[in-house]
Amino acid sequence: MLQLIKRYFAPALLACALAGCANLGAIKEFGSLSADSAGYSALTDDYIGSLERSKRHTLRKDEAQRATLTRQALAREPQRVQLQLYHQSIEAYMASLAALAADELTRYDGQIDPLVNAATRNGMIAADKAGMVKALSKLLADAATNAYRQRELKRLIAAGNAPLQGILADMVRIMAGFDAAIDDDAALYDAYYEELMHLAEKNEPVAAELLWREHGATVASFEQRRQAIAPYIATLKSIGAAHQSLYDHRENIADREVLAQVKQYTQQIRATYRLVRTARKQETQ
Amino acid sequence: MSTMTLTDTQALALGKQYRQASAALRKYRLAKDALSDTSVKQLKLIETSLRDAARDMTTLAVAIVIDEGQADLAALGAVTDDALAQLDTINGIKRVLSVATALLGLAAAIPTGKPAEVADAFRALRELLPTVAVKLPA
Repeated sequence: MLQLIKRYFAPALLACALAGCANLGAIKEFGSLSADSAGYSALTDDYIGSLERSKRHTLRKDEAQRATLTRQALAREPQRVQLQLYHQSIEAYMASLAALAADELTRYDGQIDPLVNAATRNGMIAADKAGMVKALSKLLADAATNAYRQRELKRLIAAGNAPLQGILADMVRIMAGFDAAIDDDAALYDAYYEELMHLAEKNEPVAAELLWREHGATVASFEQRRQAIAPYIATLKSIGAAHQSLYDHRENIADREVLAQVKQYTQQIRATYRLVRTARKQETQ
Repeated sequence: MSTMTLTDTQALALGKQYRQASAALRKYRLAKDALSDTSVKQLKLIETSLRDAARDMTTLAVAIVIDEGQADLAALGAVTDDALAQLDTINGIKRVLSVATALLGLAAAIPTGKPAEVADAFRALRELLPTVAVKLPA
């Protein structure tokens, strides 16, 4: 048995040494966090729903304006699915990157160990060698999967970088559209407010005071909605920069310096994504 | 006749100009009490139309980006599908290696001529086989 092991397992040990049996935890963490943040679609929901919501800033008699807003909301609605596709495609890609980097694949120990134990009981393997046989079996599997996983990660990063960078850049451009949608809402509100204030100042000073009091809170709500956009753009850019770094160093993906750099980008992503969530939380309160 | 294609940036810039023009007209109208009813009506209509056009420009800008991004979306989707297939293969390799090791056990047991050992090794192999989705990497 030991001769068989030497004959078949020795190349595996060498393969393991060459593959480095690397810990790709930094890439896994980057992929998981990026999947989570890219899948964040509250800003998209805000953009799609803003036209319907802005109807509250129309005069009661202005049915024509509300009809126009309904038409425009219907024209914008199909973009919901398309924008979700942006979120989902990055989320799925990053999740698969994380999964390829993860060492959480099917464990085979439970299948091998009984076999070795049976062989030991029957005297095929000396009891003091059983541990070694099990360890060798695990090394064989790990060497094959580590080498294979790194190769596939390189392939994935090489093939995925160009479309991913394109999609991330598109999402940054889309964020400019979301920002403009808030400007549109604010413009409609300004018109509504100034029109009412113009009437109230002449004839209803108390109404004018009440309007003015409401005005500050409404203007602040627009700014609150806007606050999540900048950190979300920063999050998208950090994802792009981290992936570009992996692409540039894909031949040394398990290199300590490369992984340290990915870790730094992951920290940036975590920090800016936290700002996005905080801004949105404050807005909904 | 030539056709003009807007970029998303141009659409957003136009939208901004429309909003600014609408606001400027409104300020003018509200500041001038002497305007005729007809003039006020006309100005209001233009203001509203400019704001409506600004919103259309915003939707258009996003649509332009979406249209341009379809090729990248399709490419990333294909890459992701491939990665998921490779994940299946990695799981397959672990199982295949298990079976290979079990085969080694059987190979070692047969020459001993001990029926119990052969039976144990054979049972282990038989239990592993159904779990293997054989899809070896290229």
